[in-house]
Amino acid sequence: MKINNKILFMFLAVLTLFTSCDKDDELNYEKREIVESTDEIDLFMKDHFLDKYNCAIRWKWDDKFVAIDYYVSPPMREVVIKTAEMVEDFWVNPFIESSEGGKAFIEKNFPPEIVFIGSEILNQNGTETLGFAEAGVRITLTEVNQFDLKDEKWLKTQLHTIHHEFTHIVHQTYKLPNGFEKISGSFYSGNSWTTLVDYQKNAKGEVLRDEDGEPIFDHSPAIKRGVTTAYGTTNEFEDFAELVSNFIITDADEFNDTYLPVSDAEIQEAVLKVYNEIIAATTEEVITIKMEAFYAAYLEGKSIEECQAAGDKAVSEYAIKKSVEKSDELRALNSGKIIIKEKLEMTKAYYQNNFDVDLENLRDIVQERIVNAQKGEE
Amino acid sequence: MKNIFSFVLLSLVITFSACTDEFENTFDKSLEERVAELNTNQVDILADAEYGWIGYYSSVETMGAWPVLMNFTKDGWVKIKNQIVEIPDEYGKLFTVIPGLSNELSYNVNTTQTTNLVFESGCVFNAWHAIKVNKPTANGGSVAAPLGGGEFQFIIKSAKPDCVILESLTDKGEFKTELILRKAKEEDWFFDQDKTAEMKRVLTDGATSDKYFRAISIEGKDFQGHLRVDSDFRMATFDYLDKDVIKSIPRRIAITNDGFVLMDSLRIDETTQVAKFIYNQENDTYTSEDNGVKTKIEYSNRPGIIYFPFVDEWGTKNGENVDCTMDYSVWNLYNGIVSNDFYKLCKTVALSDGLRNIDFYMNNEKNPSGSPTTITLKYNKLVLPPFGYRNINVDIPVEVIRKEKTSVTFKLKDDYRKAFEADIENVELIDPESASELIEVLTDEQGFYLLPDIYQSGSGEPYQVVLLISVANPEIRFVTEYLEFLKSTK
Repeated sequence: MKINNKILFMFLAVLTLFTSCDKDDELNYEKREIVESTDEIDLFMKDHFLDKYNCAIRWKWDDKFVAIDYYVSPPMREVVIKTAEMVEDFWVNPFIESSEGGKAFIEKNFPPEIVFIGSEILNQNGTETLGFAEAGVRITLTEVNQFDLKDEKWLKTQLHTIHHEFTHIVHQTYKLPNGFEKISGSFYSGNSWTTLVDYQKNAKGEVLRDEDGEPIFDHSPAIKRGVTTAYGTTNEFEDFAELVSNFIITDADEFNDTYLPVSDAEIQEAVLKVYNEIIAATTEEVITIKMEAFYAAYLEGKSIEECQAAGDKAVSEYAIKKSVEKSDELRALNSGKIIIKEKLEMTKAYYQNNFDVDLENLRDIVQERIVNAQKGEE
Repeated sequence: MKNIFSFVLLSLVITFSACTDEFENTFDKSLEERVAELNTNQVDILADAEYGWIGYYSSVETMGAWPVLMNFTKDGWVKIKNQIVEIPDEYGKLFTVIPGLSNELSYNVNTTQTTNLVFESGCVFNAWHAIKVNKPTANGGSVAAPLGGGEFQFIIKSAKPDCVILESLTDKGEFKTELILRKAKEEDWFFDQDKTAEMKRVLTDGATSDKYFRAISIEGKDFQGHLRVDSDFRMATFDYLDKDVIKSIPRRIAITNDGFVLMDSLRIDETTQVAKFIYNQENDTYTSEDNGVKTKIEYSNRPGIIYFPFVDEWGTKNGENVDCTMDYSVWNLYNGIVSNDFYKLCKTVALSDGLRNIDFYMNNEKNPSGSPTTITLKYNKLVLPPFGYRNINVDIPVEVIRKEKTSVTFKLKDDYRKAFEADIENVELIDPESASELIEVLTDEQGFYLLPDIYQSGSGEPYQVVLLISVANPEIRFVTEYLEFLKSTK
C-alpha cells in the first residue's frame, strides 16, 4: 500500500510538471523598447569600436561592471572620447600599422567590451586596482578622469594596463608560448609577490620619490628572479603579461639597461668604477674611515708617513669591500636578466610566428607616440 | 483507499488550475508598468522645477557643505553647477580641491529594491571622491589618502514638488550622505564667488571689527551663548547655557551669498529652532527668523560662554558638562570642530614653559595714588634654592592704551627691564630677554578678554584684579569661575 502511494505521488508529480505550464502560454512581460542613442559619444563609439571591432565601450555608469565593495567614480563626459582616441592611437593603430598580421590580430582578438572608470578602483583595504581583464572579454581602464597625454606617468600607467590586460586575452585565447612557464617555474610565489616590492633609495637609505611624491619602484628583487616586476612573480600568466607590456611601454634603451644582461667586461668595468670613485672620494664617509685609521696608528706611536699609509690602506680595503658587493649585486641581477632575455626572445618569436606581429616594431611605434604626446604632438 | 482517491482528486485540481490562459495582475497594471510609472513620476517631479534644485553637499560628516545646483530634463539630462570648494591643507594654506564646475550629463531613475537617481558621468560629486587629505599612519607619519565618499548614486527617499530628499546608495557605516534639494530660484544659478568669499571672510573674522566673539541673543529670552565657526571646513559650534549647563553643539553649515545655513536645524529650546542666518552688513549682525523667533548673532569682545579648553590638542572633552561630538579617529580634521576663535586665544598661551599664569593688577581709577597698573607673571618650575620649586612673581609696569568694555590693549612701559632687575630675589633667575615673547603677546593689537575680580590685600583693603584668560595655563579650568563671572556681569 505504501509503495502504491509512492508510485501515485510520483505519477502526479510528473503529470504536474508536464502540464502545469503550457509552452504556448504567453508571458505577461513587455519587452523593453530599445531606442538607439543619439548621444554624440555613443555615436562616436559606434563608429570607432562597435562597427569596426564589435566592441562596446561602457562609459556611462552601470554598477554591474564594478562590485559594490569598491569605491569608484564614472568618467567625466569631457574625457570619454579623448580616452577612446587614446585607445585607438596607442593600442589599436600601432598593431594595424606594425604589419598586416598585426591588423588581423587586433581585429580578431579585440575585446568585446571595454569599461571606462573615472577614478581609481579603491578596495576596502585601501589598495588600488589599476585595471583588469575578465575571461578575455572585458578590459577595464581606470583613472580616465585624470586624462593628460602629456603626463607621461599617467599615460604609461594607462598603456601598461591596456597592454598587460590585452596580453592576458592573448594567452587566454592561444595559450602561453610553449615552455614559457617552465623557465621561471620555481620562482613564482603567488600572493607572496608583495614581499618583493621594493623602492629605490639614496645613500642614506631614504626612499626616492617622483615629482608626485610617489615612491620609485626598484625592480631588482624581481629581476634577480628573472621577472620584470614583483607582480610578475605571481605566476607565469602575470609574468607573461608584465614582460610584454613593459617591453612595449618602456623606452628601448631603458628596457635594455634595466632588464637585459650585460657582458662580464661591462660588469668588471662597473665594479672598477665603484672602486676608483671611493678611492678618489672626499665624502664624509671616506674621510672618516681614513681619519679613524690614521688616528689609530697615531695612538700606536706610528710616524706620520705610517699613519697616512694606514689611512690609505683602510680606504682601499673599504673600496674593495664595496666593489665586491657591487660585483655580487650585478652578477645576481645579470643571472636574472639572462632569464628575462630568454623569455623575451621566446615571446617575440611566439608573436612573430603565430600572428605575424613584430613586437619590436610595435614597441617602436608606441614609443614614438609616447614621445610625441609629451611634446604635445599628435 | 479513500485517501488515494482524495489525493488523486486534489492533485488533478491543482494540476489543471495551476495555469490559466491569462495571468491576472494583482494590481491594475503589470510590474513593469508600475515600475516604469514610478520612475516616470520621480523624473517628472525632478524635471518640473522651473529653475531646478539647490542642495548643499559634502561627502563626509566632519565637514559642512557647499551649494550644488541641478536642473533636470525629462529626457534624461541634468545640468549641474557647484560652488568652488577650498579646504586648507595641513599647513593651513587654502587650496582649491574642486573648481567651480558646470556639467551637463545624463542621469537615470531606476527602481530595484529602492528607487534610485544615478548620475551616469563624472561631475562634482565625483570630484569629492578625488579629494585626498593627509591621514595618520601607524608609524606616526601621514599619507595622502582619499577623503572618502563622493556619491553619484542616490536613493530617492522622498520626492515632493517642493523638496526631494536623496540618500547615498553606497555609503557604508552609520553616516549616510544626505542631499536635500529644494527648488532653486533663477538668481541661485549666478554664483558670485567673490560674494561667497566675502561672506566667508565675514563669518571668519568679522566684517567691520576685530572682535572675537559672536554673541547669540534670542529676542524676549534670557539667553546666553555664542557661535564659533571654522569657515574653511564649514563647521559651526553653538555654545550656550542651558539651565547652568554648558551645551556645545556642532553643526555642519554651508555659506550662501547672503549668510549661512545649517545642514541640520538646531533646536535651542521649545520654541527656538534655527536653520538659516542672513547677514546684515549695516549693523554687522546675522539674524534668523526661523519659526517666527528672532535670533541675532552680533560681534562682541565678550564671550557668551567660556570654558577652557574646549577640546584640547589630544581631542579629549573637557568635563562632563560639555555636550559635543568628537571623533578622534579623524583627528586630522578636528580643526573643523575646534574653532578659529579658540586658536586666536590659544596663541597667547605659547609663552615660556615655566609660566603658570599672569595676573593683571588694574589701577583703581577711583584711587589714582594707589598701586600702579602692573602685570604679575607667576612662574613655577623654577628651582629656587634652598626651597626647591616655588612660585615666583615678577611685577611688570604696563600702560593701558585702549580700554573698551572688557577688552584692553597694553603697552609695557619702557622700564620693564628694570622691573625684572629690581626684583632682587629673582634677578639671577629670570632673563629679561625671556619676556620678549610675552611682550609680543601683550602688544597684540587685538587685546585680551579679561576676568576682573576683587581681592583683598593683607590689610583688608580691596583691590581689583584682572586675569587675562588668554594666557592661562592649559591645566587650569575656568568653567566654574566663568559661570560665576557671567552671572555676576549680566
